This record gives sequence, C-alpha cells and structure tokens, in this order.
Amino acid sequence: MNVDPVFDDAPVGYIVADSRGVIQRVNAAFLSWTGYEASALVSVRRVQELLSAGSRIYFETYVAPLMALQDAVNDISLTFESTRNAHQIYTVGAAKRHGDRGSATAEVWFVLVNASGRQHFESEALRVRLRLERLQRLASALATSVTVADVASAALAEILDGVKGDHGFVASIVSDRLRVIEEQGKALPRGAGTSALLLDHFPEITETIHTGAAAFIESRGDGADDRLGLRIDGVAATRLAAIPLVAGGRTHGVLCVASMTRAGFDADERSFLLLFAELAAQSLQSAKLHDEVAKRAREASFIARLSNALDDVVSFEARCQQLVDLVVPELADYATVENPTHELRVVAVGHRDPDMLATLRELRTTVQITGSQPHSLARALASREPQVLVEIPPEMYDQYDLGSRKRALLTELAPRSYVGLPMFARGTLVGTLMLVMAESNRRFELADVPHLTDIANRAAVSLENARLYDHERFVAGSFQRELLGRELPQDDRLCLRAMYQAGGELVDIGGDYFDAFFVSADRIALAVGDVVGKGIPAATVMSQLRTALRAFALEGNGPAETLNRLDGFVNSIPGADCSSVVYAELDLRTNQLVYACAGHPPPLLISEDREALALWDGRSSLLGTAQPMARSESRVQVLVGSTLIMYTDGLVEARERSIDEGIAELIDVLRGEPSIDLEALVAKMKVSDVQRDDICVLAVTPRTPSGGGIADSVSPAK
Amino acid sequence: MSDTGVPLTITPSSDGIVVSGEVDASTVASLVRFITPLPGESGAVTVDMSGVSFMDSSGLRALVDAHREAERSLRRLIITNPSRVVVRLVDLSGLGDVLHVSQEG
Repeated sequence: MNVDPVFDDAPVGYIVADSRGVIQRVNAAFLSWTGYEASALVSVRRVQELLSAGSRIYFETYVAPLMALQDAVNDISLTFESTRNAHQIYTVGAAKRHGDRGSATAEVWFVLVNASGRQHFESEALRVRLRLERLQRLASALATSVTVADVASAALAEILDGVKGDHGFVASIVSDRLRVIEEQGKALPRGAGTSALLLDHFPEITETIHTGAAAFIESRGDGADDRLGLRIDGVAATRLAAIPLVAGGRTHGVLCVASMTRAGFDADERSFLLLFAELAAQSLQSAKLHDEVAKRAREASFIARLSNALDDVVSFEARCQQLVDLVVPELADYATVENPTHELRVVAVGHRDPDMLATLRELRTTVQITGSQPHSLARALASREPQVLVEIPPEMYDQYDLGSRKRALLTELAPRSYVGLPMFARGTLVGTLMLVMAESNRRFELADVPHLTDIANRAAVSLENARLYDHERFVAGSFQRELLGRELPQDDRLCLRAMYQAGGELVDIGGDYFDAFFVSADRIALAVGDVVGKGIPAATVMSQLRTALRAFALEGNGPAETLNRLDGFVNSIPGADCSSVVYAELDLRTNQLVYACAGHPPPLLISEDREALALWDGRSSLLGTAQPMARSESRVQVLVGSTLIMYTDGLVEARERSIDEGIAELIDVLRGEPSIDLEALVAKMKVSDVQRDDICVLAVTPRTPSGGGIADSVSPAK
Repeated sequence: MSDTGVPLTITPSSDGIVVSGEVDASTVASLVRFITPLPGESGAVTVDMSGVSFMDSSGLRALVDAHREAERSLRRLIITNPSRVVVRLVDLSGLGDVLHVSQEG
C-alpha cells in the first residue's frame, strides 16, 4: 500500500468503508488513538462495531439513514471504544459517499477529529453547573433557616443528595460533648440512633472538633476492614466523612455523612463537602446566636411569669405549688419543692402526667434526704450549689440503697436527667427545688444551670416572704385568739355566742373586741367595742382597753360609771380615744339589762315572737370625748328566749350602705331567723366582696335554766 | 386614694378647707395634714364636708383632735354643710355636743 502523507500523516482520523461499513482503509492517526492494528480492522471490522453502545444507536438511527438519503452528513459525533480498557475516544467529524449510490465500488469516507479533551471539558462544565445549582439551593435554604435545627436540616438534605450519602447527621457541641441535633437518611425509619452508633464507633468523628480537620474514612472494599461494619439494610457502610463545622474561629459541631454504595469520596466530592460544610457552619453560627437570643427572651419571660404567678397567691404552700405548676412541663417533666427542716417535707409536687403524681409523692415522702449520694438534694443543701446529672443511666438506680418498693417507684418515674437546686433567701434555707426530665427525652445541660439558679433564687425570696407572712399571720391569729378567744362563761341560765372576723386581707387582727364575764354570781357583764384604726396597733390598744374595762366593771361600778372611768383611762393611752363601746350588765335573777353606749351602734333585742327593738337609749359620745362624769345608762327587760345582739359597725356599715339601712337590714334578718348562726348572719349582711372593717358580734339569750327550781325563783316581774 | 378608688379631695377655701370623697384609715393622713396645725393665725376654721361620701371613726378622731387644738388656742373648728353620712356619724358617736356642726356655710 502506498503511503499517502495527506492520508496517513494528517492530524485527523480517516476511515474509508464500503457500503456495508466494512473498513477498507484507515489512517495512522485513528489507529494511534484507538490502539488498533490496521490489519485487525481492514476488511475485518465494520465501523459500527468499533463504536460505543450509545454511538452505535446514533450511527444506525441518524448517520446511516442520512447517508442513504443525501450521500453526506456533516457534524457527526462518534465515540469509539479503544483497545485500552474502559477508554473511549470521542470524535466529531463528517461522512461522505464517494462513487454512485448502489454501486459496488462506492465508498464512505469518514473524517474525524479527536475531541476527547473537549468532551471532558463539557462534562466538567455540566458538573460545575450542577454543583453551582446545588450551592444556590443550599444558600437559599440556609437563608430562610433561622434556628439551629432548621439550618442543620436544610444543610443535611442538600449534602446527602449531593454526595449520594445514605445517612447523615449534624452534631452540635453542647457542654463539651457532641449532641446530635439532626439526622437524616434511609436508615432512620428503622429507628434513630444510627448517628449515636456512628459517634460511638468512630472516635475520629469526635476528634475532628479538636483537630479542626475533616476526616474521610473509607473501606478498602475487601471486607477486611470491619470498623466500617455498620450495616444498613444488610449492606455495609463503605465510606464516611466527618467535617468539623468551623465559623468565626470556633468549632460549632460536626457534619457527618455515611454511604454504602461507593468505595470512596473523589477529590471533587471532598471539595464539595468541605465547601458545603463551610457554608453550613456560617449559617449555624448565626442560627446559634439567634437561638441564644430567643432562649434569653424565653428565660426572661419565664422569670416574669414566675414572679407574677408567685405573687398571685399568698401562702407558702400555695406559692410552692405555683412554682411547681409553672416549671412542669415547660422546664421539667416532674418537679418537687421540699423542705428538709419542715415537718411537711414534700411541700409541692408536679408531674406532666397527672397519673404519676401519687407515685412521685410516695417516693419523695419515703426517700431519705440525709444520704450522701452524689448530686443528691442533701449535697445541694450542704454545698449550697446546684447539683446536675445530665444523664441518669437506668443502671444508676441500683447505686442507691433503696428497698424494692422505692426501687419500683423509681423505675416507674424513670428519671433520665436531674437538677437539684437549693433555695436560699437572705441566707435562710427556704427549701429545695428538684427538676427531673423523664419520658420527654429532654436533658438538662450545664448551660441551663444559670437560668435554673435564677429561677430558684427568685422563687426563694418569694417563698421566704410567704413563710414570714404565714408566720406573722399565725402569730397575729394566735394573739387575737388569745385576746378574744378566752372561753365565754358557761352558765345554763343563758346562751352566749360570739364571733370575730378581721377586715382587710393581710392580717387577722384588728381593733374590735368583745368580752363577757361575771361581775357577781348573778350579773354577767357584756361588752363590744371598736378601737380606731387597724392591725396590730389597734389590737394593742384594744387589749389594754378591754383589760381596763374589766377592771372598772369588776369594781361594781355599773355601766355608766364604768364608761366614765374608761374616759379617764383612754386619755393616758395613745390611740385609745374616740373608741366606741357598748357595755351592759344583765341580772340573771331579774333578766334586767342595764346598758350604756359610748358612740356605739345600738344593741338589738329580738323577742321570742320576733319583735325587734333597737336600744337607742343610754347613749353618750365616744370614749375620751365626753364631759367628765356625764355618761348615762338605760334599762330594759330581756325576756327568756329573747336574743340580745351587740355588734360593731363593720356588721352594718359599708360604703354601699348607710348605717341606718344596715341596722334595718340586720333587724330584718334577725326577725326572720332569731337564732341564726353568727357566721351565717355575717355572711348575709355582707354587701361587698371586700371586707374592709373588722366585724365583732356578741349574742346573748337568757333561757329557762335546766336545773330545777331556779326558773321559778327568777321569773322577772313584768 | 382609698382602696375603692374614690379619692379623698381636700381643697383650701377662704377660711378653711373643703373635703370630699372617702375619709377612712387609708386616707385620713391627708386630712390630718391639712388641719394639723390649724390653717391661719386666728379665728374660726371651717371644714366643708358636703362632699364626703363615707367616713369612719378615724375621720372622726381627726376632727376631734383638730377641735381640741382649736379650743386650746381659743379658736373654733366648724364643720359646715355636713353630708348625710357625716351628720349620721356625728350623731351616732355622740359628738354632736362636742364638735361644732353648722348647716350653713
């Protein structure tokens, strides 16, 4: 064969084939591209047979029919299989028939340019375009993600898709540990925890947060490397990438992707992962700031709600319950307030599942707080520091020396995370606040402690105030009971009843008083008085006045003279003047009543047949304001079965009702029900929800003595 | 302000003060400030009580204290235009013979 330099040495490939495609001639350029010997082709192979599968279809459906129609086809692109394994030659060119169509000597000439370099460029361009699109999608997804959880979710979805991962997760650094905040992948439907498994299995993942460098772990593919023995759907994971999420000079977490389909990450995928991780880290950083600000706002709002809720109620126990009700379930699955120095040790309990309340109460009531277990409430009290157990593995229940019953209660409650907070106010132990996470699967973090401590401190002050208030109320109540609650004299010749109710909301103590005592065997003294003012100052004056009244009455002065003497006395007691009082003596032999009123509302007399009489005589002015020795007194007969009612103005007077209207109403009530219970009487007379003034009522009903004989001898002369 | 929200209002007049609203333990301190010591150097001091809708014994005591101070300094404290509530309270407390109450301004 003659050598034709134009044919053989040309920088293009030439193939000349017969009408069936059998190669007749081929040049050196084509042979060098494909690696064939000329002898292996000429008269042996057809052009179609050298093509890749795709090009063969293209050849038969596009090139061959066009050649049949028009004898020439420009701008064709054919990919030839080379003799080297998995190597293809991408060509572009043209074909032209030489000679008459149908003639046996007709030839088809192919002129081909090796465009393999360009094809690589084109596919690269396509890849870059895809990656840019993906990058754009990720950027816009991240732009609309505000919280850390949103960012992790958006980034993971795009990255898993981008590198064809089967499972991926984002873990954030919380309290110096990696905490999985988002996991995705086909393994998930069979239960979360794949991520935790990977974290356990590959310390390399955790190491990346210290080294700051990405780790790519790849299976050798021979099955010998069983560290990548993680199986999903029975297929072993073959590759794993762990990339630290670094932004703003800080490592915020780790992005991890695992796959079981391919042997490794190529350079392209690695650079893709690194780039995406960088983007995700930046978003994560701002999302963390956002989450932090949102958390602060929630915390501030919680503290505000706490203060309001605690102020809503007054007593110590009620405030403890408010505290527990507020923290459950928002901050804990269950909580208790306990006071180890108090006889009612467990003051309040709360559980998100109301059915568990009894269990919780039983456990806390029987468990000893004196133990030395780590993190116990006892430890919290001793150290005055919050005790935190981020994770309570169930095995830990066994460390406590519990009986089988308590062990069962504990298992039922299933605590998983715990904070014990001492509550001290002004150096005084008020109690302990125990917060526990159970079924919600939430955990306390060390980062939560400042907020929880803040809550405990705020609550402590409020609880301490309530405790002091309870104490003051108790003392005041005891004081008043001591002053007023001396037992009324027992005598079968009469029925004596009395009641006292302090006005205002805060202190059960005031300036109203009553007294009943025998001045002689047959004379009973009855007094109801009202000191100006309220609270402890008024009560102090009241007690002195009451004692003085007793002293003057017991001298046998009689009502008017007793008041005259009290006039002298009140001038020596600051705050005692302008007090009002009604003082009466009832002779049980004659049932004659002698009474004197110093500026006080009139006593009422209700007969057995329900006739009412207001005792408007025997009046003089308020104590301390009368002319010397000017008091007067009056007399009235009290029939057996009649009721004498003495009271203070709180019973009849209010802003909504004048004193005369009040007296008229009182008469109505008593006529309707002369023996009405005094509590019921007070309730009936009430005109407003707010009782401002103290109320004091004393009721006396002379009756036929049960002992024989006396009744006859004391029958009053009418 | 009393705890119902009806304020105690005290305004000076040519020869004393005009009181209206509620006089009770929570508001009486204002009244005491206006009449202790008595306004002016000499002569009568009038306390116009036409607008008093409620008064309790703490109000009475303030008036009694001011009345006593007036007597010590040879002056007079006169309650003028007492409202029904004031009239009734003065009556009931027996202070009608002690305090000077005038129905005319």
